[in-house]
Amino acid sequence: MNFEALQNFDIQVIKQENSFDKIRVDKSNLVDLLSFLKNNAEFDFDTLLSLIAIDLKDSFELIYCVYSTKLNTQRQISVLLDRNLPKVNSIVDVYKSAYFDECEIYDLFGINFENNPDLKRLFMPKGWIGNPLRKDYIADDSRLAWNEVKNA
Amino acid sequence: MNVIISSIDFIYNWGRSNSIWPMTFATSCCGIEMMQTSAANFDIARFGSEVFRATPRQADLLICAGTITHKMAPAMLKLYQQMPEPKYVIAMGACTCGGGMFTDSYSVVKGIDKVIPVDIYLPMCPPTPAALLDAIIKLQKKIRKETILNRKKYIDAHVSTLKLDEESEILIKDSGINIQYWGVSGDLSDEL
Amino acid sequence: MPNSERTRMKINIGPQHPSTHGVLRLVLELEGEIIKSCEPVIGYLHRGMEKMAENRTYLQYLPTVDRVDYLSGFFNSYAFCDAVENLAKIEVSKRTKYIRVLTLELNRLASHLLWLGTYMLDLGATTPLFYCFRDREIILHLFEELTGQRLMYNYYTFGGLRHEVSSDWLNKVKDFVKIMPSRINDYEGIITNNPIFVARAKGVGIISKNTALQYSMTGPNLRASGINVDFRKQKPYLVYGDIEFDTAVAQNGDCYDRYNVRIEEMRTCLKIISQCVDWLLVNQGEVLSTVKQHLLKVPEGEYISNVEAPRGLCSCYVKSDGSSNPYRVKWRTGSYYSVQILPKLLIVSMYPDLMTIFGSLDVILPEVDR
Repeated sequence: MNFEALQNFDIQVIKQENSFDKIRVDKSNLVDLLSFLKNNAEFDFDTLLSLIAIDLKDSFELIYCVYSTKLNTQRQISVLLDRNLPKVNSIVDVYKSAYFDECEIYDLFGINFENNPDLKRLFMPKGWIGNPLRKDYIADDSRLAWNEVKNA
Repeated sequence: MNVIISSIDFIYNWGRSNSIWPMTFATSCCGIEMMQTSAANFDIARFGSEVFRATPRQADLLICAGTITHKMAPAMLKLYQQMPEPKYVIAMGACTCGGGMFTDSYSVVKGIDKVIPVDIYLPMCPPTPAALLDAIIKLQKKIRKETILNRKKYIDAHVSTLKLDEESEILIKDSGINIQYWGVSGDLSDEL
Repeated sequence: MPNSERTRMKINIGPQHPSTHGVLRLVLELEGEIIKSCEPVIGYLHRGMEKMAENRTYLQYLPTVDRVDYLSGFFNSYAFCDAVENLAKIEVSKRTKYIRVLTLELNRLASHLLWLGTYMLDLGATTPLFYCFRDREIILHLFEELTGQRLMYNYYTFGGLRHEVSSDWLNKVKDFVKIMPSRINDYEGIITNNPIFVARAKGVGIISKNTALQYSMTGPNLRASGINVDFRKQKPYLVYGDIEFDTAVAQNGDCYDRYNVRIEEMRTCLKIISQCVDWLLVNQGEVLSTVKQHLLKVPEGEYISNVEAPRGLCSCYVKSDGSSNPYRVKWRTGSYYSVQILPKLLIVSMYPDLMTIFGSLDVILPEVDR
């Protein structure tokens, strides 16, 4: 892939052993980079296959997997976020399928997506407190009537 | 007195046990085996379950097939309370008997007998259709042992002790839109 | 009728409903028979599959993986095994690959048969349900003889399979492949040119090419809109590069085309199965794995594996940090995005079209909620 055309977005190609190549970009350039990759005919990435969030112990990482149906190429773009106040711009204007992905990550990890039309909890019930997929989550909701703590 | 009652008992229980109508409550994988039981190879209609009713008001057996999560439990409790007496429950599959494979998960109710009273437990993951038919035969034997002199005992055993939480998500409380009910008069807000 | 008489009705198709797709809740706003707004509420079957992986070793997590999509258990099992085998650099023999392809295609056929039976039941025709379940029983008997289980197989291990396949079983599969094409022709005879079905399904729920790519559809839903993307051909895995088969593509993108694409896929499955059986009866090889499964420690790294499942693309992301438990496992499944496109298709249509559109998208709820 031609990385020189992307130099004005300030990217960094990360090659680790036993892993795929990731394009690391700063979160302020994320939306511009993704819309450039989608509209440019040389790259032509027209679907977002998935959006993965990982809880590293001192930061969060988001991986965007994009795919081009005409040129049959797949790329992963990665963003690092702060652990204490994680927030990033939403990409719903670029790929519409990102709406459910972002609501799920907001529900399970607590990452805030700005400019998302309607961010809400998707999987957990409405009054749930906490973000289950974080590494320091302790499963103990004693407000439930059928919880073991209360019935013991 | 008991001699007269025993023959009435026999006919009453014979009629009830040979025509149990289940309700379609298939959450997860065990639901596919329930559908397979009602198909042509393992026919459930020859045991009396001619139709699977969709609404709880016309059913008398709740086959709870599939994992129940914390979000789904109020819905299941509401459905159970809407069924008319006499009603029975079969807990089908390992997830409903005691959590099953998902015991260490944060969002699974570990056994549905924390929420509603259960008559027959059916373990396996998922139970084969032959096992489900075995459970229905055992339920028929259980029904035949009941007596009409002591109906209050059976009705009290099938009442759930939990009250519905205020924040359960079944009915949209403050939607601000006029919901119209046809053919029914009176205030129905706490029955539905 | 003056405007003040017209009220919008908000109804709730609750988590329990007689259509057999699972626990999905739709909150609809109707004006007469036209749907004005629709909001799907999911999460009634969220079992925490991704968090459970962090507390278990790789071998302990492997049986749980079948439950992500219970109608295509082999596909999820293969996606996880493939990711771990690539991370730990475990080699797989050629005979293993052919047996894996054979079981995957049989599973795809069983899944499409169940889809056809329940779709017709939603539209009101009860006869195809019994025929499809009869054929599905034959396939489940074959699987029970091979693995011991009807629905959750747990047959693949890291680097091989649990046990060898006998030639008796392969001959039974060969007999099954001989009788199946005439049965698919029977189903087509009563459904494809049926005037009621054509009137209900043609021109309904059209997904254009641009919309399909924006909402990230994959699998038969995408191929019915005219875009020929099949991950068995684009990025061949296992032995799909050596087997001859065609992919089915349609042009219009309505419910009728999605039905046609899946019927063609059933015929393609039979073609692939017969080629695999012919190869397996002639060639020998090793099938059991040489790796100690319960002591497996995977080196650091991450990998994404892609599988073309009956409902779309199923991909599994595994990240390991050198210990015996995975650090993070993430599932990307096809039905998740089909539920997302549902409001956009329903807003312009009438209430009786709801089940036609929803059934043709082939949604299974455990895949959505995980």
